[in-house]
Amino acid sequence: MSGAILEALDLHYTYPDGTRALRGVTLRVPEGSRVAVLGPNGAGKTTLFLHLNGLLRPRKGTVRFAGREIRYDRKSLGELRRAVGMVFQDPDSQLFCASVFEEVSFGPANLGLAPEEVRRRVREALRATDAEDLAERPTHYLSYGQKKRVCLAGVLAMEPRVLICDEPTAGLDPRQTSGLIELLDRIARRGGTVLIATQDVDLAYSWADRVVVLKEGRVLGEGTPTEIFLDEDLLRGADLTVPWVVEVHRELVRRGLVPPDAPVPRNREELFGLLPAAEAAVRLEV
Amino acid sequence: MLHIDRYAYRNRLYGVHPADKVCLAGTALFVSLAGAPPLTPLLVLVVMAGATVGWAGIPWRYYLRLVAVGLGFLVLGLPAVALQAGPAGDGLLWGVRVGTFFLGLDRAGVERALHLLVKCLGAVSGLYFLALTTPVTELLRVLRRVGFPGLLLELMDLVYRYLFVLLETAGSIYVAQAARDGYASWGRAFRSLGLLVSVLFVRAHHRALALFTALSARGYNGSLEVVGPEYLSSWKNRLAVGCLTVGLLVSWVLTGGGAHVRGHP
Ligand SMILES: Nc1ncnc2c1ncn2[C@@H]1O[C@H](COP(=O)(O)OP(=O)(O)OP(=O)(O)O)[C@@H](O)[C@H]1O
Ligand SMILES: [Mg+2]
Repeated sequence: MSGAILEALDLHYTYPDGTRALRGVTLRVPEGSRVAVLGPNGAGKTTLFLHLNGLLRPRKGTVRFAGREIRYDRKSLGELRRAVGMVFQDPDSQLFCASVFEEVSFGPANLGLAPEEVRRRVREALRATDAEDLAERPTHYLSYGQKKRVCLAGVLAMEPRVLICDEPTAGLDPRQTSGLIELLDRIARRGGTVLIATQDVDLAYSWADRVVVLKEGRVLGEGTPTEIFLDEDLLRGADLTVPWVVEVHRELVRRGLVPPDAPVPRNREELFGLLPAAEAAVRLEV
Repeated sequence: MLHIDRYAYRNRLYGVHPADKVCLAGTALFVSLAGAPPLTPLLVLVVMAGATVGWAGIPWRYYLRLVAVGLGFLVLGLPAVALQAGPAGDGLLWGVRVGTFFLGLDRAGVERALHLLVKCLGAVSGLYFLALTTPVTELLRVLRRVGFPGLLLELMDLVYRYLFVLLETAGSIYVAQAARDGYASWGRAFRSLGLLVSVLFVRAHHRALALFTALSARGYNGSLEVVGPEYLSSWKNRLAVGCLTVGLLVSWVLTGGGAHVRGHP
C-alpha cells in the first residue's frame, strides 16, 4: 500500500456555540485511493472535511499532508489548498460569481496561471463535468444539480492532487449521478485521490476502496467496503442500511441459489455474474 | 428588474462583444444629450428603440412598458422645470396669482421642459438598449478592461450575485410560511413578515461566512480575480454596431452639432 497523502490524528473540534462536532477522529487516506465517509446527519463529516484543507483548525490533534503536519500560516495554507480541492455541500455558498465561466476560472486564476492556461482549464473542467452548455448561463438561473456540477468544475480546474466532495451526488438525477461517479473513477484511475461524504450506502459500497463510518464525532469503523458492510452490528450502530447488492446476495445464499463460499459481489455486474451458475444448479436439482 | 436581467441573457445580440454595445449606448447617450432638441434626441429614440426591439428581439410590449416607466418619472419632474414665478403676469400662457407673485407657464419654460423630456427619453433609450442586451457580468468585464477599480467591480459582482440568492431565500421562506397559513390574516401576515426579515438577516450573515470559507478553499487571497471567456467578434455585428454609431454621430453633426448649446447657455 502506498503512503498516506492525508492523515488526521485524533482530531477534536468544538464549534463556538459549544457543539462538540469532532471527538477524536483518526483517518488515513492512502494516495490514489477512493475513500467514502458515511454517517448520519450531524455526524461531523463536513466538519472533518473542513479540517483536511485547513479551513478549520482542530482544538486538539493534527492533520498531516504528504507526511508533514500542516501549518496554518498564509503561505502553507495556500500550498495545501492548491493540492487539496474541496467541493462544498451547498452549491450556493460556493458560487459567488454571476457568470459560470468566471466562477470556474476563480481557482485557476488564483494559482497565478496565464489567462490562456486558465481558459483552457476552465473549458476542460466544464467538459469533464458535462457542463459545457452552461458556460454562457448566469449562475442564478441554474438548477440545483447544474449548480453542483459547476461547483465541481470550479475545483477540478485547479487540478488538485486530492479531491474532497461533500455529498456530491445529493440532488443529482440518475444520469448525472452515474456521470459523476464515472468522473470520480476517471480521476482515481489517473492517480488522483478522491474523498467523498455520502449518505448513499450503495455508492459507497461499490465505488470506494475504503469506507469510514462516523457518528457523533467519532469513527465507528474503518475498512474495506466488504469489511464495513458485512458487519451488521456496526451498520446498526451507525443507522446505516445494508447495500442492496449485499442484501440480495445474502438472500440468494440463504435460499441456496449461490454458493456461500464465493466472495460477496461488489456491484450489480458481479452479482449478475453469479446468477447463471445458480440457475444451472437449480436445474440440476430438479 | 428580473425581467431585464433575463432578457439580457436571452436576446439576439447576446453574442455581440459587450464593448461594442457599450460604445453604441454611450454614443446614443452623448448624441441625445448634446444634440439639438427636439429632432436629434427623437432620432436617437427611434434608432435605439428599433435596435432594441427589431434587432435584439425584445418584445415591443415589454419595451413600451419600460419606456412608460421612464416617462412617468420624467413627467413627475417636468412641472418644476416648466413653471415660472415672477412679479408680472403678462407673457404667461397660463398662470395663477399667489399673493403678489404670478406662478405660470411661459413659452420658454414649456419649450425647456419639452426639450428636457426628449433628451431624457433619448438617453434612456440608449441605457435601455444596454440593460436589455448586455448581462451585468459582461458590463463588469468591460469596466474591468477600461481600468475601473477592481474593488468596486468585485463588490458589484457580489451584490448582483447575492441579490438573487437573497431573493430566492426570501421566496422560499415566504412559500414555507404561506404553506403553513402564515399569511391567512393581517395580524399573522404581519408577524410572518417580521420573522421572514429577521431570518433573512441571520441567513445572509451565515451565507457570508460560508462564502468566505468556500472562497478560501480555492485560494482566495484578498482579491476576486477571474478570467472571462474570449469573444468571437463577428464582423457583421461589429459593422452593424459601427454603422449605427457613426450614423448617430453624423445625424448629430447634421442637425447642428453642439451649436445650440452655445446659443443659449
Ligand atoms: N457553524 C456551525 N456552528 C455550530 N455548530 C455547527 C456548525 N456547523 C455544524 N455544526 C454542528 O456540528 C455537528 C456536525 O456537523 P456537520 O455539518 O459536520 O455534520 P455532517 O455529518 O456533515 O451532517 P450532514 O449529513 O447533515 O451534512 C452538528 O451537530 C452540527 O449541528
Ligand atoms: Mg455535511
